[in-house]
Amino acid sequence: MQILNEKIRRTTLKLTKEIPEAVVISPGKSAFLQTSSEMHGACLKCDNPSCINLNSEYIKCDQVKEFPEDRDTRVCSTGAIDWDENLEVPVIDDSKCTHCGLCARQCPVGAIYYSNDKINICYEAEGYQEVPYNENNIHQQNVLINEIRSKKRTGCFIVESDQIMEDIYGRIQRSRLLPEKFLRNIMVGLGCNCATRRVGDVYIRMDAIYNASSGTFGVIEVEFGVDTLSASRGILDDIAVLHSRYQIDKHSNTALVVCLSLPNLRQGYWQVIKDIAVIENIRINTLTCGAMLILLWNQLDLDLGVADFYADYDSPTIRMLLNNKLGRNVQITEKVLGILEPFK
Amino acid sequence: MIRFRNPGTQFATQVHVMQILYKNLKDQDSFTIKDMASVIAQERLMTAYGYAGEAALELSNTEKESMNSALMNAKMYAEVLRMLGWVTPSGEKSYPLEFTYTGAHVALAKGDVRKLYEQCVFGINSPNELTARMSYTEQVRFFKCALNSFIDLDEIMYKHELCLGPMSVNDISTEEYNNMIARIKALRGNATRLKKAFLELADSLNMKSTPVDNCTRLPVALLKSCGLVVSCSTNELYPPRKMECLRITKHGKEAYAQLETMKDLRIDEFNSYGTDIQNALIRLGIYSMLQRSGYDIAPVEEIMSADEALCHEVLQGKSLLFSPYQTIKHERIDEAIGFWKEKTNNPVVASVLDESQTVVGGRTAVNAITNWDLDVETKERLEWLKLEEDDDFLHRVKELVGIENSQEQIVNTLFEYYHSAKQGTFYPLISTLFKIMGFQCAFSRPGDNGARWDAIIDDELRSIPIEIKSPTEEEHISVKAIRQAVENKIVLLSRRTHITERSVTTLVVGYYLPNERAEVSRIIQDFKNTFGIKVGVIDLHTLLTISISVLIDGVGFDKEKLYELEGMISANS
Ligand code: SF4
Ligand code: SF4
Repeated sequence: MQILNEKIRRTTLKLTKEIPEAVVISPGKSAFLQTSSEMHGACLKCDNPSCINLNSEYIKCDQVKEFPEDRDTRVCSTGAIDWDENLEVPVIDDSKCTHCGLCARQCPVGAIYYSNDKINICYEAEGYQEVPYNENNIHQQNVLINEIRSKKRTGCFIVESDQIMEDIYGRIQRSRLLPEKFLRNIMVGLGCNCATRRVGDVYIRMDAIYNASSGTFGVIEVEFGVDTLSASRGILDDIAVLHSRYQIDKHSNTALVVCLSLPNLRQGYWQVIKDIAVIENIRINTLTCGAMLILLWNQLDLDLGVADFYADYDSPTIRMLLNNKLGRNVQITEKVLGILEPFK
Repeated sequence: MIRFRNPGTQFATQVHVMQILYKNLKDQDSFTIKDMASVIAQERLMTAYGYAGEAALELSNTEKESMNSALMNAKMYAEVLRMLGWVTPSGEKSYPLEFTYTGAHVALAKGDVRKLYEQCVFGINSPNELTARMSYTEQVRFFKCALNSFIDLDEIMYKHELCLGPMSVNDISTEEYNNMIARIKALRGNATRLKKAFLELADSLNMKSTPVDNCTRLPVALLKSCGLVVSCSTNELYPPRKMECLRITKHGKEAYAQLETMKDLRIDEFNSYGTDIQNALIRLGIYSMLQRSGYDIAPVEEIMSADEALCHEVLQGKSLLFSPYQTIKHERIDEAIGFWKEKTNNPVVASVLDESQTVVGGRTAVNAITNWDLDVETKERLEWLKLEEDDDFLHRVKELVGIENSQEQIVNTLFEYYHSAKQGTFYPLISTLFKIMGFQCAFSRPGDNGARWDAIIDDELRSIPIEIKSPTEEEHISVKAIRQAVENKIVLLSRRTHITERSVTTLVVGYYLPNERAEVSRIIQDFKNTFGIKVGVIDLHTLLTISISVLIDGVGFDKEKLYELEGMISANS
């Protein structure tokens, strides 16, 4: 008996009439696409919507080929964005959405934007043509998307503020998303390859590994709770395992600890990070989800080999480091949510 | 009650495992659990003690214990895939397996397989011909019945209500179903009532309550994967207690509305029909599942309409809810749809694991326990034993010397005695024992956040931090404790509160040596290779054996060995 084919549920997709020279992400509305006319980002009804699924090449890490990475390619850690088969477009369920903007970062034309306290998708704009869904047009669309991705992309998706960060952190905590996968998707949004341990795998202790396009490699521990000391200990374990079993030299391992809020001074974390730097000459980076999202909203990449996020007991803050990356002062009040400096 | 004995693995993983297995094993007529284990490990879908891929498999081959874990892993997947009707027993026994026609569609799907997956979830029904010797008798299409229950129970259910409800009902009887709903409604409002009913259920099944609770993991995972329910925490059901419950989604309600209109065919009714009708129902069952999942049925449309005509009395205009691969043996299905697999002539080079289940790959055996001769030389130094806690211990030993015959018995009695020790007793005890062995040892009082280590051997040149795990924290020393010992060493080197050298050991002391000895040995080796830090691990029994020998025989102990200690030691192994 023959194997049946999946029915093609698609009828149309879209192309732009002109190839934009640059994509400028703008807060409050869909992106501005630089063409001969005034063009804005609107959904292309992608054959392979990158707002929903990541390219599986990005969720593995070539330096450690044996790493048993999770293969779930979903961009959205809460399942808020999904494909509507009748409308043939992605739709977002705001009740599940954390407003993280990861889907928006993946959309080639910047059709996804933040306004009225939620994430929106622009479906219609001037300068697009709707074409039948067929081999040829799918190919054309892929060529177009690759072309647009090679252009300059600048601008800002959300201008950070205390209020917005509080909303997002509240939503992240309520959503009970899997921290490792959320982090992995943020790393991919920041231009890295990142592989995370498969959910439920008890034999691999390290949470994730990443590499930036320049080749910077590192291991990541994610700690969304308060047990940050276990993260610094975990990192030493990870570095040792990679050094001794997988031939990743300890000094070529640009390790990173990611938390929701920076550890409080009394937890001992900052002191230990300093001890490790003094004794082992290993600088462990520390970042918060909030800081990473701000980078991502500003269309920036993360390469800790070029500009690190090292902070320790002597100066337990990442504010200046973030300002340097942004080229401006970050607009988060001191200590708010522990995003840039510890609460206490 | 239906026993779903499987951890709830993720949807994405299940589909991925299926796709990988199909790619690797489709050319074999059938495959064993060992074949599966081999593919799963090679494709990095299984790991063993920090190794993945080939290395994990090699470990699995050389260590009986992890071999079993590789097979367990494969078996776990096999059971889920069989339950979903993607693989099926090839012969009379549960294994070996072969791929089903439906399974091949999942494996080869390019698009979104969620719809077909959901159809397979709705296909799960009991009893069926595939699960031999079940310990339950319920006649139920569980997931359909569960959705119905959600709707009848104000859209929310607590997981234990699933056990008491749809997992323990014959849904073919409307009366029984209604009684079940009424019973659950009557439980609501009082958490004690629910708990009592749940414990009674466990009792009646001759099970402890935890394994009964575990039976909800797979169904909850499947319901969630399909987006039929979501978690919600609410105190609506059993006020004032806030409980982690499940709420049916809009999609769940729509899915049920559709299921309700269908002809739900179960095995007994199926068996009551003649062969022609049965064959037609098999074909219709399979094709209609694919049709509902968005497959193009044009090539089989004619067959389907002919079959529908043949079965019109059974169906009475309804569409068919019947998943043959989840209900009957595949021989009958093959007969109805014709053998679907393409035969190839190349026999496949099978697994890495050999037939006898033993060694294939080479991995140097890990020396889990370094034996340590206890040559005891130096004289005891009792002058450090001044604390009340030290006194206590010495007293206890003296008493025992009067009662017990041998040193071994004394050690065993003490070892037993400290089995329930908390930090407050255990830290001083360890410190006392090191003092008896001739080391100046000081412990930290629990809750003293300033100190990083739990005790320290304060030496003029070679101080040793000690990480202590009391048996009430963890009976067996864990990898976590090893990590802490490494941190202790780095902190000590950096902050220089006591003098030491990098080459001096950092200790972990606990009640029992680690369970995962191979992995602990390896990680100790890794720390040594990477940072040049030596971690020594000692259990209480060893410390007691040495100390009692020092006390009773009055002989000393070769202290040099401790400074250099690396790996696990055990005096009585
Ligand atoms: S929102 Fe963007 S990525 Fe998603 S389908 Fe539309 S154009 Fe493609
Ligand atoms: S903004 Fe974040 S949470 Fe919301 S749909 Fe996009 S990826 Fe999902």
